[in-house]
Amino acid sequence: MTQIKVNVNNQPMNVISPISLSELVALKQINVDGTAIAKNAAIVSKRDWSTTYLNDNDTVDIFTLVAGG
Amino acid sequence: MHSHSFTQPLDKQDIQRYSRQLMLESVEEDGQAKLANSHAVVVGLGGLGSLVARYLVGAGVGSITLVDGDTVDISNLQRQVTYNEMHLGELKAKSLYNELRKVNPKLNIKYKSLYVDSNNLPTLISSADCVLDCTDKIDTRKLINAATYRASTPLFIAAASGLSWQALNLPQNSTGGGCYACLVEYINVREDCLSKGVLGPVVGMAACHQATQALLFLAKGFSANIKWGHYLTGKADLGSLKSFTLPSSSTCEVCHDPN
Repeated sequence: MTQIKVNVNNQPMNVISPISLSELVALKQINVDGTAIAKNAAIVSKRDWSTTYLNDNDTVDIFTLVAGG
Repeated sequence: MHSHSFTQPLDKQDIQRYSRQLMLESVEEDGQAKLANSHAVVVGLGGLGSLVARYLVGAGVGSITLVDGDTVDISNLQRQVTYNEMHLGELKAKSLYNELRKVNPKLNIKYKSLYVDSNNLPTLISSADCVLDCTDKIDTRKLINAATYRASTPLFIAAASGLSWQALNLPQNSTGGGCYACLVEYINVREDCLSKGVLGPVVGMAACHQATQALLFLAKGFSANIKWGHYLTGKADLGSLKSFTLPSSSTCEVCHDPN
């Protein structure tokens, strides 16, 4: 177990590696309904959240998809 | 661009009408001629579509099809800026058509007062050079994505809710990036204009971006300097904009070829 530094929605955050995107949203208690995640500016399919792990200095953007018009 | 296209030199009035954009390298005379010979289909004539259509008409897109089955409600006037109290209860497609004809009666504007579905979409978009998804329901957005992908018709998507707006340009020609179905696969996107509300100009920001991207494409085709396949997220309160690549999903029902 190592501590790594990641950037989540423009905020620095220290987390214990290994940590997946699913574990990150659970840790941050984010409602995943309608939520999309990009790791290092590439969107990760929700299917792959649990198998996508974070590395030191990774950037994560978590945002809600909108559909209104 | 589309099969019925023919090139007419700009007359004196056109040169005057379009003088501000003719100065732009991304339009110029050849781009203006392409705009005149283009056909854009605008699906959804609410906060996005009513504004998008106004800009397409202003810029001289030769053929425009307006599609929406809805009527104008008083709650629309806060953000759907091309309608006013005189239009209350009228079909949006017809009201907008009448307003846009006043801007430029020489353009070939058509309207369809209907909601799109998988049966009518292929015909509606069959001669389109691009489609603009200005709808507000996730299922409709999925249908438009699938139909444009099947027809290889470029698709310009925009959406807004609360103080957020988002957009995506899709070439729909299997060049490797993901499509809208890849984006929303496994995600339960909320239907949010009613439940979450939206500030009028935030929808306008999405519409302005969407119209800009479509116009640049229609003027210069795929050589236009626009970004395809990037998901743009804007926060109107912070004035921030982020762009993400959208990889194709290996299980996407629309754009993944199992072979």
